[in-house]
Amino acid sequence: MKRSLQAPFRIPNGGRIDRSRKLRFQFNGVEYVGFGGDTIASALLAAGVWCVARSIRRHRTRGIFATGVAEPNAIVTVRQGRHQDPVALATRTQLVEGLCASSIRGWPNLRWDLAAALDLPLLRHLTAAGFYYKTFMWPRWEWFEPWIRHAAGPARVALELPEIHAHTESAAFDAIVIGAGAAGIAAAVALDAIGHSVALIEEQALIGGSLLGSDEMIEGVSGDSWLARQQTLLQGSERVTILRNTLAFGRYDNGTVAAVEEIVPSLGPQSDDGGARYRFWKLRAPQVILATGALETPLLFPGNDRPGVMLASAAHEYLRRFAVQVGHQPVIITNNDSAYAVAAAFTRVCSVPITVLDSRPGPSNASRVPLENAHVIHGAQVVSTSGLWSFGRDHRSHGRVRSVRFKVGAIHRDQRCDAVLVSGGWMPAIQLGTHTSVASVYERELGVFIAARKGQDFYAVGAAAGIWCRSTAVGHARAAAQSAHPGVSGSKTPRDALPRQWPVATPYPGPPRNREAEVWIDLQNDVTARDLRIATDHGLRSIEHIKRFTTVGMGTDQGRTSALNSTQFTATLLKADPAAIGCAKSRPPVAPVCLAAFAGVSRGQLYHPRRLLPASQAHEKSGAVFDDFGGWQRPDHYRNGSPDRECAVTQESKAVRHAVGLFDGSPLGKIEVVGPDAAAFLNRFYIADVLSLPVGRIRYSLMLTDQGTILDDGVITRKNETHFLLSPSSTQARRVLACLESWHQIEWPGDRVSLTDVTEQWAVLVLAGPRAREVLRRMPQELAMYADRLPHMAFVEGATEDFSFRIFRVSFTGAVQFEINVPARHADWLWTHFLKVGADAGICPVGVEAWMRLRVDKGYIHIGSETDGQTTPDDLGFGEIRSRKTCDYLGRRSLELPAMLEPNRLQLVGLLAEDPTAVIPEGAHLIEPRVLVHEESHDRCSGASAGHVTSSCLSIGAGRSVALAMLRAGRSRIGEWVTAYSLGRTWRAQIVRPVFYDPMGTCFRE
Amino acid sequence: MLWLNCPFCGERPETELECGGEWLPPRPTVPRAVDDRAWARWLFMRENRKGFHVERWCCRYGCGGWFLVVRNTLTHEVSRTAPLSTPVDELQGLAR
Amino acid sequence: MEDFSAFSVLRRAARGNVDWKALWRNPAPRKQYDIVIVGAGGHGLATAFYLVHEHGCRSIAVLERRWIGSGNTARNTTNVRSDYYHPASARFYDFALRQYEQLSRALNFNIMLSQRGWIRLAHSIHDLAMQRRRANAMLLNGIECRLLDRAELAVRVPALDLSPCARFPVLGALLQERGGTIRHDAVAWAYARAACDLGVDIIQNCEVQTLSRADGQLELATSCGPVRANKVGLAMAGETSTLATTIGVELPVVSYTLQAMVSEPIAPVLDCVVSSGATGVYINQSDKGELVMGGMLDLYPSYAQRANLPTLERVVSGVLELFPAFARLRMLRHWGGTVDVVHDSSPIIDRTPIPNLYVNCGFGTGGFKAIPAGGFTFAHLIARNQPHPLAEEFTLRRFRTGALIDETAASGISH
Repeated sequence: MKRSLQAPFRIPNGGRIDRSRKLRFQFNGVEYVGFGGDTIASALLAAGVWCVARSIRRHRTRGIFATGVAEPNAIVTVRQGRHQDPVALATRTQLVEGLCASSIRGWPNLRWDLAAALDLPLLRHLTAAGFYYKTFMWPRWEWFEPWIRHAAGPARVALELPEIHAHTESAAFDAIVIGAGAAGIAAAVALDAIGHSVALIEEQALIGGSLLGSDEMIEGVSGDSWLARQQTLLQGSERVTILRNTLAFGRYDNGTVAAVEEIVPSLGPQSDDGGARYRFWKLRAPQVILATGALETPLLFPGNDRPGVMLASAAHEYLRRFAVQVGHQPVIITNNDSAYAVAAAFTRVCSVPITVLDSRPGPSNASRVPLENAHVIHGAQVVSTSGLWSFGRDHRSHGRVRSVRFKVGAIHRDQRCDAVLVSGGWMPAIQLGTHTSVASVYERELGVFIAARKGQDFYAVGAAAGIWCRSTAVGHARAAAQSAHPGVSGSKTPRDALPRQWPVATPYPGPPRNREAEVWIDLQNDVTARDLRIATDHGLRSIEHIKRFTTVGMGTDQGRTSALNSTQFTATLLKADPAAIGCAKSRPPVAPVCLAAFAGVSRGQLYHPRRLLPASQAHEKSGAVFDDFGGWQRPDHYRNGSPDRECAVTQESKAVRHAVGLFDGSPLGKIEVVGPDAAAFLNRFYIADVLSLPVGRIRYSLMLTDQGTILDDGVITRKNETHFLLSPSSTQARRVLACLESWHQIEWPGDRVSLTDVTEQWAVLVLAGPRAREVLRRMPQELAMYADRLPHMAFVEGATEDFSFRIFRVSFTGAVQFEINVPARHADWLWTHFLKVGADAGICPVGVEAWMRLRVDKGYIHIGSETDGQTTPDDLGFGEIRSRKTCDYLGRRSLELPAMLEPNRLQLVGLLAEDPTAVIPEGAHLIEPRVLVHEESHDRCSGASAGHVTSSCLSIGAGRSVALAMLRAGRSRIGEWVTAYSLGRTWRAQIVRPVFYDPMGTCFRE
Repeated sequence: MLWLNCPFCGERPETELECGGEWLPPRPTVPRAVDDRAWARWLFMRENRKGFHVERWCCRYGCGGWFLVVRNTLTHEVSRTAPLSTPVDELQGLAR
Repeated sequence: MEDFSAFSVLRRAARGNVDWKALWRNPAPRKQYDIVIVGAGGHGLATAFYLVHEHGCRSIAVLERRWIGSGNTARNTTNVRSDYYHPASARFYDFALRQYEQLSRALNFNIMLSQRGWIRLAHSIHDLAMQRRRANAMLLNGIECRLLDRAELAVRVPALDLSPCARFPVLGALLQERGGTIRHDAVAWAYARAACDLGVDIIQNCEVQTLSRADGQLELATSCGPVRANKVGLAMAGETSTLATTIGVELPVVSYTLQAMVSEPIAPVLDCVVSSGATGVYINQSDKGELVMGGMLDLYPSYAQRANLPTLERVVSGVLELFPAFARLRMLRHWGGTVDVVHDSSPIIDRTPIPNLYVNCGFGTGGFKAIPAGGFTFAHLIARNQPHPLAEEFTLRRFRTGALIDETAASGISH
């Protein structure tokens, strides 16, 4: 492997890096070395690696342009051990030992990229903004699409590597301060001083922001000592929580701020056992202070995208924080005062000569300050740049800027250089401000956009509010912190009257029209000034249309470095005011956030946690094969020595028909309804009469929505005059309770009744079959006595020495059936005990599948199988029962609407296939015989379906295949034949009444 | 993230609550006495106001109680929460 | 209208791409039109286009409060499909899909229809039966589809977690090959350009505040002054109620926020649209490489058009349950749109009690995929004052008669 262990651009001392910790890493197969505290970008710059990427459309060589989240170019794929980050920003990724980074574009390699041909003059114009809307239509888009997909997003996600995890944490504070620069720190200290709890959120590992390494004075002292003093104040306070390495990425309703904290530096060492990499913070405070600073804007001149061209502020930060001098011969290009501080730093720290090309015609306050070693040229406009051409395979300085050509008046001059530091003015970082309904407005005096005052639910302080001067910003931040509401602060601290000292940018001369295609506005999406002109030529006026048409600002940096320029250049093109053009809407997150963070702990087994039966362990011992039924893990069937599911289910069904089956029905809903008005209250809901239900008896009924469709079925049990027990079906139990509660509280609060859900307090074990009584008789006397005494549809409760019980004698299977309810903690014992005492009666555990098939024999409905959102009780044949009830109940009025009375509605019927061994698949449709003629071409037989098969199985009771179906006008067609159709196959079947076993019900009544 | 002040439990996030939609007049006491149009109106027609309106929420994972909320559907600003028994005219006054 | 083709692009490129012609005019509103459509989203623009193209109507304006396609047309997850259950819906949505299949060439604007397949996962035995029921209904309605087993899914969607111990194991899927994605903005732009070419005035930044009746006409008070029209059609999705109530029309519509989100762009990893009922999410990968994800509604009335954390977290959890490897990707943006939900999740394309006022609403979460059919049938209704046979069941009356068309299950997300 090639090694390049020199760092020619690292200055020997200074910077906030740990020089004692040397870290080796690879980039595109070459080994480099960096220090602790470096990012990939700073280490590469120190090593003199200029070209790190190819651009998306034209495959131009690109270098590191900015720092942190603002970086548009340096996207790399990173691997370290068993971890991978496919789309990592080199400027955000902390360097760790053994890290491997590679460029995401460039084939066969970054230096020799064949696709760079797209930058040839004709091709570049062919692929200008919006070209794909105008072509690729013939023969069809899909012929071209794979190529475009392949070219667009080249970073590969590793599917085989372990997942990334995150924690979630919520916290409430009196105030949240976002950004720990001078203004943010001052605000936090002031809030703490008045006794407020504060969260201070900083994206970097260090707090201090632009103060770090700055030699400017603040409030009469040096930046470092000011920072040290404030830090002592913050750290001494219990009320202040400082979150470092934490990106506050979004603001939401009611003072919510979402932030993500990197617990281990991304791609740092992490065990594979799922240790968390991120912490997802949901923070909340009545007061939110944005101290997010400002971002530098680049300048528009031809060739402004070459490697080596970089934001002046970024170069400054690399110098201060990482002790990296980005060039030995830098040129600064500017139209404002802020770049002079960078020039000063370079001349002082690196002692290199520096040239400043200031577009402003005459000297300004900053440029008047004499700088040793610096050569300032006023009125200079850059007309082009040229780059290096490196031969061989080494990409490191390929394409790097070599000289700039500029003109002063009519005179053209060349200036050799190895780095071009650009400063086109500053834009307050207001993205977080505009996430809620706050708009951005143009501040004419400063030439920037700031958050509108209207509806403002936060404070912006410091540079984010357009205040440049540190001392002023600090004072303003303190004042903001002390006022309770944003509106009040507006009046207390007349921000506009403050000395802002903003480095106001003088408009840079526009590029000549014939060079617009070489002037980049958005580096990441390769959008040039020409692309914007094409958009406005197309009649597009809205900045949102221009954004969508050209893709300007749609990259992963959300246009951080392009937003202001795209608005201003559009304004120039349309001869309009930037205020009228506006700024494209910014959306959360402000910088990309790992998906794992959003999911938090809601992953794997904790994603929709499963509900377990109280006797779960006993079922396992019985050989249960579990499946998910509405969130409950229930035995689908028991292995019990059967070779497959079908055999097991058959065996279980046989036990219920011929001996005895034991079924766990614990998820069955259990709602206690108590109160003097309980009967009258329930009578409002069920289609059966509840008032006439005798004490100790059970009645089956349906509950409807007020739209007349079926919500649930279940039995109602009257324990005594004023106490009822409801048994809604297991999947609907929560809905039924919620429905009863809401009607009670909202419509009928006068009904004296209370509702309690006891579903999980009681386990339900069901004995079903002709020998069920035998098993019950072998239980303790208090229980056993009911084996012969309890009639069908009756209820009793009692207690043995060890436990209380409730027995419901109902039948879902058509067999004699005892539903024995015991407190959940006894379920395990009772299950085992039943199996033991029932062994010689042939007891067999029965799973859900067999249970569901047994009810098909009887034509009993199952909510969700026979019913959907449109099924009414009349459709299922409950019309007569319903008509006996005279008073109103939920849904009744809707059942009188014309469409509910249509004779042609779907009605429940039974089906017997012509071949008794053939099971018609559930979900098959019923079609009229005449439709079969068209079977070859299904093209135009819409409406041919006359219904569908809802449940279907081989019935032990009937000794053949049976099915239930919903069929148009089905009840009037008993005896006729229909054709069932499923996925190209057909079955002939006869329509019968929906009962296949024991039609008189003698078996379960006996 | 919406936070509402349950009159019984205090402030709760929306994840612990359930919205029952805008406030509706009481269900007709004798539904059979109203014609199809009036019945459909009660069942389905909604004012769906943009701005402040009165709506019902349930403290689903707290006390289980329903309560009234005056909330702006455009900005999500909540101006008041109140027990169900509060005269709705009073709240609608706030909403307009 | 300028002809768009490889030749025209080449010709312009050779001249440096200067002087392209405008896609549409930006006229000032007139005082009087024959027909005014409110809302320049996909449905409104398509309606205007078909009013001229199919019915020869003249003097038409489309009024838009912001910019063309700025509502749900710009905010949806770009999926198209026609896997509906009821014959009325199946006919309607399949007509839309068939129109989409020809739209690029019909309007000479590439909408980038990519029929990469729409997959609906089954997570339980019950799901499998329900899918068979849907598949058979589709086949009988003449819409091609097929069921996939796990082995076929593993080939088609390699990133999908097919492990049997997943919280919601994948047992199979329903595939509609003709389903897929479209470049959403392009649909609005294509219709706008074509409608404009046929003489329709599209007025942007013109908010309609109230509707009233005046001298046998309808008067719209707008931010650009009053406009009168003989006929008015509302195609405003979640905003429909706000205008309808100003003239006393009641609608069974509730506006909710529906969110969507995209990841950073990555190399092709997901070649079709995948949706899952149990987790309540859907996901596709755009041509740019971003994963586009969406899911359930925020279940309280809202016009806010912005994102909110709880639903977002649920959607991401659901996506990672299906595709655990995506946990290492980053979310780039998330946002919200206002959708118009009705009880049975089927649209309303109908007259209103006010003569000459028509509504097209109630598409809920599924409006984008219906644009050509919505526009086509709405134009027919406005031009002839008669419902188009394709949309004759999507009436306001159905709420009074009880003849609801419940597609809640078909809409693919839980309401």
